[in-house]
Amino acid sequence: MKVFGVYLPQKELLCEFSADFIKGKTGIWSYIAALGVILGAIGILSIFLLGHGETTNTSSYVPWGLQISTYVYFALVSGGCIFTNFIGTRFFYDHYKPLASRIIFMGLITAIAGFASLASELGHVERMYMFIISPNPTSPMFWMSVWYTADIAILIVEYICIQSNIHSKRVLYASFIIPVITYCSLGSLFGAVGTIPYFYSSLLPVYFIFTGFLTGNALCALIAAMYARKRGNNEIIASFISMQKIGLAIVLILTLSRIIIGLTGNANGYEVFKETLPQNILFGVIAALVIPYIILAKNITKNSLLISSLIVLFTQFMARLDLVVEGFRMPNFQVYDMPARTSYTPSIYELLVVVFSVSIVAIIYIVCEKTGLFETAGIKGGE
Amino acid sequence: MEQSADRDILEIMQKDLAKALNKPRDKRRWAMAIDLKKCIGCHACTTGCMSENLTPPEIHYRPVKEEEIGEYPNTSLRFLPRPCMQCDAPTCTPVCPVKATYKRDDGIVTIDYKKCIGCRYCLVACPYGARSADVGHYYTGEMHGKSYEVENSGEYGGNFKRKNHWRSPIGNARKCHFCLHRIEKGELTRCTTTCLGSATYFGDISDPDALITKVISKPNVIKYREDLGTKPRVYYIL
Amino acid sequence: MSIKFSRRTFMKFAGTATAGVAAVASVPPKFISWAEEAEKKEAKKVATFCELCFWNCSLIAKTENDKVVKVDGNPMSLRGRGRLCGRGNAALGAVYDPDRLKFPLVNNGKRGEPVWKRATWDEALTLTASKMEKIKKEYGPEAFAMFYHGTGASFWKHLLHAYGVTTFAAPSFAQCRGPRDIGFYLTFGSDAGSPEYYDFSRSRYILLFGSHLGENAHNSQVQDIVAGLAGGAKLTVVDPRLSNIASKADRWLPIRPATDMAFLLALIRSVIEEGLYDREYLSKYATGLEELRQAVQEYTPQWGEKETGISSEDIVAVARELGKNAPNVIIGGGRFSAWYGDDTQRSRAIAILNALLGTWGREGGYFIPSGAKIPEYPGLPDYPHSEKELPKLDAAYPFAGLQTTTSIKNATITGNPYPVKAWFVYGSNLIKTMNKKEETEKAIKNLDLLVAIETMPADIIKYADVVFPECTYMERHDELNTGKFKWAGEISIRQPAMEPLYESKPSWWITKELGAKLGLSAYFPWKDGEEYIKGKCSAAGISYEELKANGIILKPGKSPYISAENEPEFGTPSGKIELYSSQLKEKGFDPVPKYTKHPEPPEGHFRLLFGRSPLHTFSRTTNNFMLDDLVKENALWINAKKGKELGLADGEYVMLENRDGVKAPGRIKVKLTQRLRDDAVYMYHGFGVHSRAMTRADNMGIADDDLITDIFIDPLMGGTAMRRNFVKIVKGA
Ligand SMILES: Nc1nc2c(c(=O)[nH]1)N[C@H]1C(S)=C(S)[C@@H](COP(=O)(O)OP(=O)(O)OC[C@H]3O[C@@H](n4cnc5c(=O)[nH]c(N)nc54)[C@H](O)[C@@H]3O)O[C@H]1N2
Ligand SMILES: Nc1nc2c(c(=O)[nH]1)N[C@H]1C(S)=C(S)[C@@H](COP(=O)(O)OP(=O)(O)OC[C@H]3O[C@@H](n4cnc5c(=O)[nH]c(N)nc54)[C@H](O)[C@@H]3O)O[C@H]1N2
Ligand code: SF4
Ligand code: SF4
Ligand code: SF4
Ligand code: SF4
Ligand code: SF4
Ligand SMILES: [Mo]
Repeated sequence: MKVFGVYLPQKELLCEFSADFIKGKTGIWSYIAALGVILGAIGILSIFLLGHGETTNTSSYVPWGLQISTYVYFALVSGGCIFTNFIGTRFFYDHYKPLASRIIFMGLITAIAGFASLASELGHVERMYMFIISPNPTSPMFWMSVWYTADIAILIVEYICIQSNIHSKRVLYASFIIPVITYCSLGSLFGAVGTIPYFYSSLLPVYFIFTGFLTGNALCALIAAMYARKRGNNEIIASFISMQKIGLAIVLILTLSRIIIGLTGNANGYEVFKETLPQNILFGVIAALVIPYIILAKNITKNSLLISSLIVLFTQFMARLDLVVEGFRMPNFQVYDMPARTSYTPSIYELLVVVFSVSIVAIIYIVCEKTGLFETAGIKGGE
Repeated sequence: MEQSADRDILEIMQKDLAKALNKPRDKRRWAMAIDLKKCIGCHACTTGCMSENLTPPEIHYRPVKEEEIGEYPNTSLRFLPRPCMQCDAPTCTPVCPVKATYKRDDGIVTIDYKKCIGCRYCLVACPYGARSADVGHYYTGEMHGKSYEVENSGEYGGNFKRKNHWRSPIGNARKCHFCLHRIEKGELTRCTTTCLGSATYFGDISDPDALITKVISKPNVIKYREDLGTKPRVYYIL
Repeated sequence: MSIKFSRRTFMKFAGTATAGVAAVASVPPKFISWAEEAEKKEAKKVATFCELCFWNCSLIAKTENDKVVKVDGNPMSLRGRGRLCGRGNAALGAVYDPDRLKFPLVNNGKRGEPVWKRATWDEALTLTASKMEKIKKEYGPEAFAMFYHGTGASFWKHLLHAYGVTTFAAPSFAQCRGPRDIGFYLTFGSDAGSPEYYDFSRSRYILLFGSHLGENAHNSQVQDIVAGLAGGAKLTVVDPRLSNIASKADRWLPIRPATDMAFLLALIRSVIEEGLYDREYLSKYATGLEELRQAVQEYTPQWGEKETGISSEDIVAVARELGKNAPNVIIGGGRFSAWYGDDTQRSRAIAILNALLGTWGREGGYFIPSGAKIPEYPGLPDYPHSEKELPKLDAAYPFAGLQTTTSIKNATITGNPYPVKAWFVYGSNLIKTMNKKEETEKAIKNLDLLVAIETMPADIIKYADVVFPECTYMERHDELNTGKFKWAGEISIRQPAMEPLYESKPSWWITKELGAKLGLSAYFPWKDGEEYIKGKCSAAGISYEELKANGIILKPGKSPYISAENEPEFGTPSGKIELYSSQLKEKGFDPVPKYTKHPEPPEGHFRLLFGRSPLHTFSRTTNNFMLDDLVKENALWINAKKGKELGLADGEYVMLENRDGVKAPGRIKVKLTQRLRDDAVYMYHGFGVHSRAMTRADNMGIADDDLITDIFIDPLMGGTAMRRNFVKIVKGA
């Protein structure tokens, strides 16, 4: 079935999938994801019903926590997908083509999953319309919302284009420019906060562009690797490996310069870089960047790409959490029994939000995959 | 100075306040001055403010920081009460995506509780840690406790009861607002009237005759972290 | 700063007190919200006074829908002048504490290991009355003792007096200001007042020993000293710790703890030897200068330096500064003075130094207070016994002044001079307050009845047989409060701003009901608390309506300063200031204070010092949720350098053990500080509560009182010295 040139999952396949699902024949991941969605939804619902005070561990001392970092993570992933789409279409068209709709689709659902996480963090999400009736052009967050919306819009347009086989250069270039600007505005959202050195001003937009690319691209690589395993189609793998290696190298440079700037900087709160140095080197650099690089350098296989991509996806998630939370490590006005260093452990509800965001991406992807949405598109696209 | 001076300070500032209220709003320039020589670290202003604004746990509009300087036995102490600086170049307002927090023409940086979406960006952006997030904690879980804690604080002259987490001010950013609801009624800020050291001055600094204008026009006046370019409206007298 | 409308200046120039008081009363109260027009139909303003500490500041409670929602200071009152301290502003945290005692409790288990039964008021009162009757029959009324702290106690004292009881003790005397009061009394024939008669705001020079004002939040007194300093007074603070007020001082002298007497004696000697004293004043008003001079000869500044660690130059400089600024000088008597066991004599030394400089009755010194007397409620029957009829429990302490807790404790343990079998404990967390816990517990074991009248399930509750839940100060009428101040006496009213929560009741009600069960109704002719107050007002000839509306009434008094028309009176046997005390001589004590050396902390130990958190009143407020939000536990202050030598880190939890091998339950976090000597540690008193029903306070921090097992009783007046204990730090908490 096609609406405005976009394929929708076929009714019979959907019925078949749900029948199989009930019979337990859709594979372990579908059940895990479904369970995740249910638990996550309960978590999010609880947050709204019980209120943040009862459910979340963010506070005035650590105003942003796991939910915001999850949002940032997915926003970056989403942008990375469009980015990858651009590069893929532009440079490895033939190999990339069958993956295009999957990747764009992924970009879309990760954007939405990110938004779910963000929405569950806001004190008054029902007032989101204020963004329209009372916009503040001086606020990076306002611009972030504008570009985030544009991001989703261009994803939809691109998706329509791919599925209806329209090749628009303009859309393609927009799908390069918009995520770059989204990254920049997201980066400046943090970077503009001059008094939190850990968010370290003007370097951050650049950092976000490349970490975003790295993470989004890793998700695409994951899809590519799985696709390749299923189809025995290996050519595409090489290009993803190169992309990931480039991503890792650039992010390594940026991460190191971020640390060095931090260590050499000297103003209120810069000690935070010293204090987080061990964790940054061990996890942020070695585990997150060096190891995947070594894996990829050693053998150029689907499986190594699969593993390195999973590592990147996970470690970058932790890196986002680190970025957000460690920013508040040193309270800029410590009084009374307030600790000299804030501590924050996400609550179970906050973790459930992450579970929701991850699971919703997984389940939608699985359903679409199983109901042949991408097949049709792929076949059509391949014609 | 002598014993009754504190009363006189309140009386003088009271008169100054009435005078300021006769002016159009955009002609008033509210400011606060805190005399660190007189601040005795009693924290009366902190709890006075808590009780005035019915603030929930962990939200203190005016904490007093105690800092030790030097090494024993050459030690000195500094008490630093910190209300919101009501900055003339605030870093909190430009970042608000929905203009829920803004600087009024009389200089007070307010939060529109009905607009605030609770994104907490302003908390992150304020270099003084002057803002808090009201996530809906209560001191007491019990009904009678809640029934007082849900009372209308009178903040911003609005009808904001902390009744449940759907309603403002829960879910919002909160901070010192120079007791807007009091000054509009002709009362000095609560931290001023309860200050045991008579260390807190309040008034309209556009009035050259006002007491506060006189106390800040001395050489020993600084602003907290002036280097940030925030142009605070709270003056510290050393 | 220019002062245009100074009330005091006005009074000074107007000369007459009446004019002064009129000026006080006409001050527009506009600057507090009290004056604001009622913006709600249900909104009400009730003038009453604070009970979060004994200063009893007047306040205005604002209610909405019969719930207090806000408190503000009452600007007409001299106790706070419209201001409330850090605790007073947290009234709501006391009133709405969910852990409050909610209904009467009867202990069906052992004393100390209670099995609580919720009782009706009638059950609890009947049980109490029958136990009382039994004890009285067996042992007589002298087997009863009452411990008290707080305004509501007066109804209980009345009830027990009517029952024939004569033993009443306040730990806020023997464990607190008693030594100071007696020291001053022996010298000036008057105590130093409560509130103290310090004319801080007009002083030119102030010398304090301890007295950590700012942390110790005596409301108007803190205001006065800050005003005095802003007015140019010079300040010297003698304190092993840089207290808040020491940080404002021109000179902080971190004295070796327990050597204040040496410093004082050296000062006295210098003042005399350098002729810095007020000759005219002394010849007119004092006796014993010559004896004093001879007695202090040995206390040279060099000797003082050796004892105190304060340089002889500093000692001489302080003496000269005192002399230069006399008589507008205050050498503060402090308040909590039960320190080392020779405290009455130390206070004597302070009093003597004041006398030498002529500060009593002088501007910027100790003012001569004006009081307000209120006669008894008219038409009450006489009490069955007068105090004189009974053997004096405190014969051991000739200058006890007030009944001491120690004698009661001893009599309860030993049965000598007669058995004590029933304790009434009102508003006193005795088990923490008296220190040397095991003795208190031993005494309590011997009792047949312990009745606690409390608002909170404090530590003492677990030793009670019957617990009467009193409603909080926001919910009741109490005895009128009178205070002596400069120029005027103040009468203030406590009246309910809201109905009592739960089943808690005011003391006027409980005592009336218990009185009825004991056949003492004739002593309780009033219908309720309000009628009682009305009766007292009419007896005193003051307007109840005015008091109810304003919260206070000021009674104009006399001039606070000595002048030809205003000669001072000294209530000593000689009618003069006694630099040399023949009273003391007569009873075999040193007529002029002498120095006794106190032990120093042994190797690896620190002297345990303690004081007040500006945000708490002992254990009274540790469960107050507003204050708990700011200060949840106490910390162990230790000199940073010393602490680092011991390998301690800021914020690390440790345990403490004293010389008697007592390990305090719980743990305490280390606060490395530059504010303290390295031979002592310091903590706030009131924490380390052991009562699980106090959900916020229980087990937070360590109790100094758990470690104070070495106490020494002042032989003059029976005060309980507490700063004699040495502790060592045990790591690994
Ligand atoms: N906020 C608050 N205020 C209170 C109270 C409260 O609980 N909370 N309680 C009230 C009551 S009942 C009282 S009695 C008063 C008590 O308050 P104060 O009368 O001020 O008590 P001090 O013991 O004089 O003061 C404690 C100070 O004495 C110092 N000190 C300890 N040892 C020595 C020594 O050997 N020599 C000298 N010179 N100084 C020493 C300590 O370092 C500390 O700074 O406070 C009253 N005010
Ligand atoms: N170790 C050590 N011991 C000390 C001191 C110290 O610093 N260290 N300080 C000493 C000094 S200075 C003093 S004054 C004494 C004071 O010690 P206490 O006489 O014990 O007085 P508080 O601690 O003020 O009050 C004790 C109880 O009064 C209850 N209470 C509060 N309000 C009311 C009320 O309205 N009605 C009734 N019925 N009860 C109420 C509280 O719940 C609390 O349990 O302690 C002395 N003991
Ligand atoms: S102190 Fe902070 S919250 Fe207040 S105006 Fe300045 S930047 Fe804004
Ligand atoms: S929390 Fe409210 S006031 Fe603060 S930036 Fe967000 S919307 Fe604006
Ligand atoms: S001005 Fe008002 S809101 Fe601000 S700190 Fe003072 S009491 Fe609190
Ligand atoms: S009330 Fe006044 S003296 Fe006390 S801490 Fe606050 S500013 Fe300082
Ligand atoms: S000094 Fe503070 S706690 Fe004590 S009575 Fe006054 S306001 Fe209450
Ligand atoms: Mo006391």
